[in-house]
Amino acid sequence: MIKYLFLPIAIFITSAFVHILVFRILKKFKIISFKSTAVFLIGLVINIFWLKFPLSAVFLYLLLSGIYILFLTGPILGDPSPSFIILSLLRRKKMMDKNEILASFSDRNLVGKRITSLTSAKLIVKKGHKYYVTKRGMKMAAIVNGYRNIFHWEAGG
Amino acid sequence: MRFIMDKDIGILIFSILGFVLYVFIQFLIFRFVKSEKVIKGIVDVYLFTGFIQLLSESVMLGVAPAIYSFILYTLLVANYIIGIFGLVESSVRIRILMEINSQGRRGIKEKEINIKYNKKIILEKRLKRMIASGELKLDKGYYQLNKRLSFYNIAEMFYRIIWYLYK
Repeated sequence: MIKYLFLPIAIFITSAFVHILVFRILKKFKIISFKSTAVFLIGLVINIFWLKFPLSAVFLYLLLSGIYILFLTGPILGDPSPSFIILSLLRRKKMMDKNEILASFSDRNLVGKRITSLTSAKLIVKKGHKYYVTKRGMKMAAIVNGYRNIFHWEAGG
Repeated sequence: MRFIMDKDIGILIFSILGFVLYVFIQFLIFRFVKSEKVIKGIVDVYLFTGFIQLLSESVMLGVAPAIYSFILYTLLVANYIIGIFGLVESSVRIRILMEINSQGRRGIKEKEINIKYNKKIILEKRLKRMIASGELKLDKGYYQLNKRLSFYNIAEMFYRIIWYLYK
C-alpha cells in the first residue's frame, strides 16, 4: 500500500516541478495559458501504461493534479483570491481596521480585472459602453443558478 | 502489493460512496446554513461523512484500505469544494457574470456593476464569513488572525507557495 500511496504522490510532485519550469519558460515569451497543465497528462500516462498502477493509485494522482490545477487559476489568471489577500495582509500587519483593509484593494483590481477575464473567456461581450452575456455565459449562468437553487441561496460572491 | 490489487475496486467504491454521501448531506442541510457559516458546515459534513466511510470500510475491507479510501475521499471533497462549490458560492467572477446576466438584453455598464457589486460588498462579505468560521477575530474594531490551524490557513499557505513558485 505504501508503494501505491507514495509513488503516485512522487510522480505528481515531479509533474508539478516540470510544470513550474514549463510555465516559467513560457512566461518569458509572454505565453500564459492553462494549456501548460497538459504536463500532468504525462504523469497520468506513466501511472497507467508504464507503471500499470491500480485504479485507486491512478485516481489519487488525478485528484492531486486536479486540486493543484484549481489552485493555479490565481497565478494563471493573475488575480489572487480576496480572502487570501486579507489573510496575508493580517499576517504581515497583525491587526487592521475595516477601512485599512478596504484601502488595500481597488475596484479596478477586484471587479475590473475579472470583467476583462470574463470577456477573454467569451462569457460576456462589450458592445459600446455596455456588457452583455454571450450564449456561452448564459449556459454558465443557468448552471450556477440551478446549483444555487438547490441550497435556496441568493447571489453568491 | 497484492493486497491493494485485491481491494482496488473496493477502495475506489468506498471513496466515491463517501463523496456522494457528502454531497447528498450537503444538499440536505446547507439550505438551512447561512452563507457566512458555510466554512464550518463544509468541515463538519466532511468529518461526519469521513467518519462513516472510515468506520464502515474498516469493518468490511480492513483499516489500511479504509485509510487509502479516506485520502481519496478527502481529495474528492477538496476538488469539489474548490472547483464547484467555492466557485458558485464565493467567486467574484461568477457573481459579476450573474449581475450582467440579470440585465438580459438591456446590458450593463461597468460603472453600474460597480454600484451593485464593489470592493466594499466583496470584502465585508469575506470578513463576515471569516469571523463566523473563526479564522479572524474582531476586537475593538480591529481584525486579527486567530492563531490556529484551519481550512483557510492551510489553503492560504498552499496558495502563497504556488504564487511564489509561479511568479
